[in-house]
Amino acid sequence: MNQVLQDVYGDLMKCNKCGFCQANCRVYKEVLEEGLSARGRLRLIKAVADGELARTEDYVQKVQACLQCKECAVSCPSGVNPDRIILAARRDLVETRGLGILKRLAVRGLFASRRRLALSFRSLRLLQKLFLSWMPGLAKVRGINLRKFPVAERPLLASLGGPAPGNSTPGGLAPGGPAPGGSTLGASTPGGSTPGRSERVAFFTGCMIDNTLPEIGKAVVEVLERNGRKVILPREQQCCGTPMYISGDLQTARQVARANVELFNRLDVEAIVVACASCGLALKKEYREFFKDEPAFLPQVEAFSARVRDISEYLVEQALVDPAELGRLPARVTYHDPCHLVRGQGVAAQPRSLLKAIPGVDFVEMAEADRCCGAGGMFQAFYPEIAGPITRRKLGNIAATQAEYVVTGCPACLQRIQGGLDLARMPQKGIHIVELLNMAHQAAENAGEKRARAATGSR
Amino acid sequence: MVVPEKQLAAEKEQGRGNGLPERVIVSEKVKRRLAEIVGADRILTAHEDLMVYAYDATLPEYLPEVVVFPRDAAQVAEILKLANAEQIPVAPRGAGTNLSGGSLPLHGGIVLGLARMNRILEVDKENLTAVVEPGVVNADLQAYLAPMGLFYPPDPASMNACTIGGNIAENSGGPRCLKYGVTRDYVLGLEVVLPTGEIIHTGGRTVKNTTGYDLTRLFVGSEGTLGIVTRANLRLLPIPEGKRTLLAVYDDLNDASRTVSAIIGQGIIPTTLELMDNMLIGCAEDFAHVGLPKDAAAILLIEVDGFQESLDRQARVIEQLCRDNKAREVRRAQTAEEVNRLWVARRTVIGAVARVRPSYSLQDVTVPPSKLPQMVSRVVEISGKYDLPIGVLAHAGDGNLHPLVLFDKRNREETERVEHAESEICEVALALGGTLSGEHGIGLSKRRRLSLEFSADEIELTRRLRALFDPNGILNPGKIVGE
Ligand SMILES: Cc1cc2nc3c(=O)[nH]c(=O)nc-3n(C[C@H](O)[C@H](O)[C@H](O)COP(=O)(O)OP(=O)(O)OC[C@H]3O[C@@H](n4cnc5c(N)ncnc54)[C@H](O)[C@@H]3O)c2cc1C
Ligand code: SF4
Ligand code: SF4
Repeated sequence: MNQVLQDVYGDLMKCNKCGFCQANCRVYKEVLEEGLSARGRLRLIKAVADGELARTEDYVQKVQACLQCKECAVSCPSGVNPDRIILAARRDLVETRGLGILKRLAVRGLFASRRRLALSFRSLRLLQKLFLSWMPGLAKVRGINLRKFPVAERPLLASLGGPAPGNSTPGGLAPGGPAPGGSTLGASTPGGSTPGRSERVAFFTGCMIDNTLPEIGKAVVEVLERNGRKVILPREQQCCGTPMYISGDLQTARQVARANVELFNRLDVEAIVVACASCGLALKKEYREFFKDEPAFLPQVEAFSARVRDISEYLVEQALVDPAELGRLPARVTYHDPCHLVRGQGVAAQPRSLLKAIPGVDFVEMAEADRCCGAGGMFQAFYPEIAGPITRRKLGNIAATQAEYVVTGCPACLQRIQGGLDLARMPQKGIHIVELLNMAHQAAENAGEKRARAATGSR
Repeated sequence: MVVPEKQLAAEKEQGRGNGLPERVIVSEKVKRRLAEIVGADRILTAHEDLMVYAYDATLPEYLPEVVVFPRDAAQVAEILKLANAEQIPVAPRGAGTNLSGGSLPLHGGIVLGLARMNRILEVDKENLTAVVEPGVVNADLQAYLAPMGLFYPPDPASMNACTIGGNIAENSGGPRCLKYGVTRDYVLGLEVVLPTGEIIHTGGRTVKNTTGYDLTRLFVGSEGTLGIVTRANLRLLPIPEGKRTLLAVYDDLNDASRTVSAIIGQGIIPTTLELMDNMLIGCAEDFAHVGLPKDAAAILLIEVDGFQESLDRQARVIEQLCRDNKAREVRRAQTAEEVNRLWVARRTVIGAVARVRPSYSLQDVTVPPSKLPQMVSRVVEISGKYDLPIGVLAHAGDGNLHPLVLFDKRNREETERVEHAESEICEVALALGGTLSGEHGIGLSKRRRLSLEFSADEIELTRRLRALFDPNGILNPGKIVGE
């Protein structure tokens, strides 16, 4: 038995086949095939561990067609954590059959899904880049050099530098354009007028925000600055490692993770803020898992993870947002819980309380708010025939609320939902919570200016 | 539940039933024909796919040869005709959560997957009825009905996964069945495909119906041996105006079971009256974190529902009875959230015991409620006698007991002891005027104990009845009665 499977064997044995994990697994509910329920996948993984079954193509598909949404972990009374066992099985595949196994799957998946590529094309393109570019040789799938494929016009980390609002100082958003070499590490020593450590936070952008949705990143910086925080954005930060980790390539995942831990640990900051649910989960919890065989490095990981906060979590924990400073946003709003926030990090109340704090916002809870939107990393690209209906169900729940905005806390969900809304020609707009907060701040400023103008005019 | 080695040995001795060979092979030709009937995307033949239809929620596994997912009664009829002609056994399956080996394809052959026939066809609010296909998940039906102010009373703890078809085949119960009755009381009529392929309709849409034999009730609880349910007319009820949920805590298990007899003896029928002993309290609490008292010897989870005015009075009477029987504390759940969490804890407790030992086996014996205290104390004795941890979980109000025996199936000697302990539990229950199964069915796991409860004549009648429906013995062979 491969060591990776050996490690989870005890958990596998805990599964008593009660079937409760079928309840909320969207993949199972869509296809209604036992092999795609957590119970079925675990049975096959156990068979492979016991040497009863070879790592066949069918087996690979069963292990890959999982959203990693963690619904099964929540419904399992026996504490099995099927999602983690599935990850272990992916790792076992990479270790025993090499990265090529993923490559074949990717090629197959991409070709099979060509006619559906229209759905959220932008996000698929990025996914290809995120998921495939680290795999040697895979970048040229379909004759396109994915690594060079343009995705965002300008990644956030490269584009920062325009006039920044608020109290940004060098080391935060460099007002004079990107510092040569892109490092802001020098700024980590407080000095002169720089605010003290307790007001400094680092921002881990993550690839998705950096590459496709830099607006979210800008909003994070602006909201933090408006609330008295100085933001450090280390340019050498790397991918969080999730794409590699959930595909089973722990080695590459560890490389980037190590670089991140070392980089951020050198910063003198109160917190490391993230606005991507999957990055947050990795940084906060999964890094421990990455390095569990390396006890010497673990203390560093612990010190790093302990400071990581999701943006909503951070704002609420620090009581930073003062409703009196927010302008009116008269709009009906609903909220989608990203799997990796609600189940991954237990963050659900915070974004809701922030939304309710915005004057004028009419918050309506959608049905099944915490059900997966169908993104699931590469899942949407490989299994569009399953992901499509999952997303449509989400869209139906959104439509029923008659909200104008669908707010969420993860760029991946946002892409998926917005892609779906566009395709279905639905009028709702998807938006990250921090963007909405920033809009409320802007509304307050505009109102303030208007009042000021009105006051001068009347004089 | 049954132990694999033991089971296999027993099978070898007695043959698997109905004179069928141990394993019926399905030819390529028949598989092609099946694919023609249901469509190529509704048939599974790959080894990996078959492996996951070899099990249900019990321990043994039997590999089918093919899995098909029919769309409607007509396709089911075609499949059964083919199976009859070719003498291929068919095992019907809903969600595969049953606890009696009922959906296991004992002889290979065909697994008939009904999970995809899952439409709610109609809800008639005026007449409080619904028409559903068999694959509808119990909780999905409840969620659909709730906004209309209606509910379907049977609520097995597995409701988030199990299907209405499975519930009908097992005549399933659940906590609130104490007041409301079991599945059988809520099925008004059925569409059934007979093993020989005829599509028939039983009952109707009215609660009162005495036209002819009550075939509906014959099919309910028939464990997939007499026909395939393809549609069901269900009876619904309006959601009661309010409810009160109480938690009574005891330092002595016997005081808890005496309270149950006292409440029923007073002529009070709460909606639910559930008992958990110390071990199960611990397991439930570790999973659900609801603040259950882990030091208590037992708890009773009691709920009453009805018109608002009556609730507090009912709750007060029950609280008093609990105190009279030495409850150390009686709490009332204050918020809907608290009530919900208590029920999550109760529903998940069977699964949660896996935290203690790798395997569990549970019985489903049921005794008259007045005999509950005796039954419970005998289970505790048996636990000591065989040196096995046995948790006591009971739908106590209706005397339905689930003694959970914990062991490690890899340990042969321990597994033997489990077998003996369970036999003794069954004998005690029967001696107290009870029955082997209250709600999980006989299936494969308990069929060899059937003769403890049924006389030879009764078993023979069961066989003859079955042969009348299924002359070739193709439908779920080997279940309920063996060879
Ligand atoms: C943790 C746990 C808790 C449980 N709690 C309860 C409980 O509180 N109360 C209770 O009563 N049960 C309980 N059960 C048992 C189980 O959930 C029920 O027996 C349930 O009704 C099975 O439904 P299913 O859809 O899973 O059916 P399956 O397990 O797939 O099948 C059950 C039987 O029904 C037959 N069948 C299925 N569909 C059809 C059909 N359409 N036509 C004809 N035959 C069919 C099968 O052949 C089989 O014999 C529990 C199980 C577990 C694992
Ligand atoms: S993580 Fe989600 S998709 Fe994967 S098995 Fe669990 S519930 Fe299903
Ligand atoms: S809920 Fe847990 S114990 Fe039950 S089948 Fe799923 S993984 Fe196994």
